[in-house]
Amino acid sequence: MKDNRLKGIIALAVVTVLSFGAVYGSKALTKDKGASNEKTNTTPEESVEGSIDVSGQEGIDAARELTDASGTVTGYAVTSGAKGFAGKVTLEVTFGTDAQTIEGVKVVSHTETPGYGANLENEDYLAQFNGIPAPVYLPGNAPVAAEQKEAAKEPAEETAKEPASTELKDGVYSVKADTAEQGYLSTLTLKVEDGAVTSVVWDASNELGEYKSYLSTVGEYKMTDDGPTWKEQADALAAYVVEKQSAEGFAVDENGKTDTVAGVSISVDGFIDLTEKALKLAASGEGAEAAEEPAETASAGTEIDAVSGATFTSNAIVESINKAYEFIHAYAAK
Amino acid sequence: MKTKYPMEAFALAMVVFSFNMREAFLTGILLLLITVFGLVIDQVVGRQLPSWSRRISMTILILAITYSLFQVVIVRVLQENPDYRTVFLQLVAGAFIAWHVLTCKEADYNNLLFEGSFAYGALILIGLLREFLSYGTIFEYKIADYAAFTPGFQNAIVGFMLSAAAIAIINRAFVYEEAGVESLWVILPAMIVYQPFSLDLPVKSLGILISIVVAVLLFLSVRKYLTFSNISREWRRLPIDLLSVGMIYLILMVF
Repeated sequence: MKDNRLKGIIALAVVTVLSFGAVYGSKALTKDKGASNEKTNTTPEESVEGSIDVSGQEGIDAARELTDASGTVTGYAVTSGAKGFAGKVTLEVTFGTDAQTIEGVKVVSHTETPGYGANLENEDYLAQFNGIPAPVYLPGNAPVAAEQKEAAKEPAEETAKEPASTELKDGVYSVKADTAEQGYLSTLTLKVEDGAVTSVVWDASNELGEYKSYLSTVGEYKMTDDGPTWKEQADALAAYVVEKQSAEGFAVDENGKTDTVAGVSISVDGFIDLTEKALKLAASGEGAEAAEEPAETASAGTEIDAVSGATFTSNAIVESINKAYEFIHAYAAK
Repeated sequence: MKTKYPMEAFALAMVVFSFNMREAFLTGILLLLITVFGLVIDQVVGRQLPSWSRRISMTILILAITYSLFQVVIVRVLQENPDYRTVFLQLVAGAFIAWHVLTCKEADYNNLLFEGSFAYGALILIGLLREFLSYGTIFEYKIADYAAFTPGFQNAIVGFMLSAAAIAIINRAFVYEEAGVESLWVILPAMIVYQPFSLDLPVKSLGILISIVVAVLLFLSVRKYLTFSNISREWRRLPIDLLSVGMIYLILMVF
């Protein structure tokens, strides 16, 4: 009996040592690989120094200026992250001296599903970012500024803009739902100009990156055979909010439906929640993106490929890169 | 027939913790460590307790050790964030180890480590194969780049089939016949986390439940027919059941 206990303790000690070896060995192997990658990717002339203060910047983990031996700035590297499907996706985005052209994207960390979101690590996928101008967007999701111009045309012409009862801060406010419903994750973008809501865009995307507005337009997402499409109903709800300058006034029944806006038979709970969230942000000015693009920004963005079968991961990549771009562009403009 | 090593825990690990070599490498050694630790504590302390107390306390201890060890390794050392599904599967593996410890009449460390090392080796090999055939990498080092490589090897189907083959080979090597517990306990956690198909229903959890129930019912009906089949000894019970589930997933993948 004592003999067996002693054997057990010896076996435990041996396996513990082996475990330590296995764990730290695998960590060292992975770390060494990271270090060797950095060595091959940076030229001898470039040195990493000149870190930039990122305190108070949401979503930005670190940033630095890349300089050569003589101290001349040769680019910028920004580490930013956004929530993907399983957790945070953190990327390091390297920009050129214009603080707009992306020179490369590296994956710092993620916990996405192997075979789906984890494919963002593929070199072929990351290679598409080399040399393209920021910001970036996914197919079917053109830059906010371009969408806002189209969406703002009708409501701006047809309705008299009344100033909001509480002062709203100018800007573009984007919010998204916490969870997907029936396979679609809702997003809402609200634009405020001169203290008034001028545009609201409500859409929802599935895991394949397909938007309800697009699917309903091409007949692949049908509400009824002859009634208004989902996009038409969403636009009608948006027009109502622009007219009323608030999300109040919707009479919603227990099924989430409303009779307040003619022709709308879809559930409006999600829309109202997101609108109220966005209006709250607008009242405080928190999270505002620039309402108008600066004159020197030539392009509205570059379309990139999504990670196949991983919409949340793809959205996280876009969000992360665009956050990095907005930060470094504002920094470089000072 | 009871194996000397925690076969169920390793079988589950071969299905769900073998996406890449590093994961398999770490999971296997931790499973062995937890098993040895559990047996030692059971011998030193557990056997002194009344049987009801021993069962409860050893189960809680081993589950707690499993959770803590994996958290320390993954979060602290590797600085990654495991999601709730991974934690759930780790706890299930811990539960299998607790069951193994509690049903061990006499701890046989020699055979545990000897047979366990074969199971560990098989786990690493499966992780290596899946990673290499998916991305052409081994331990995240790019080895080759062929058009035939596809992330499809990360699918649960491959995990089930390779796990079945590995367990059958180990059974043959150590002359185990009809070893292990009810295989549904091993298969069900993997089915819960990796459903064969998804249904787009108003209530998402209902869709998940339906897909799991369909897979379980198909598995049980296939197993009934297998009773009348002439299967070689090393394949009986867990290996053939894992292989059947792999085939069922392959068919249901169409949906």
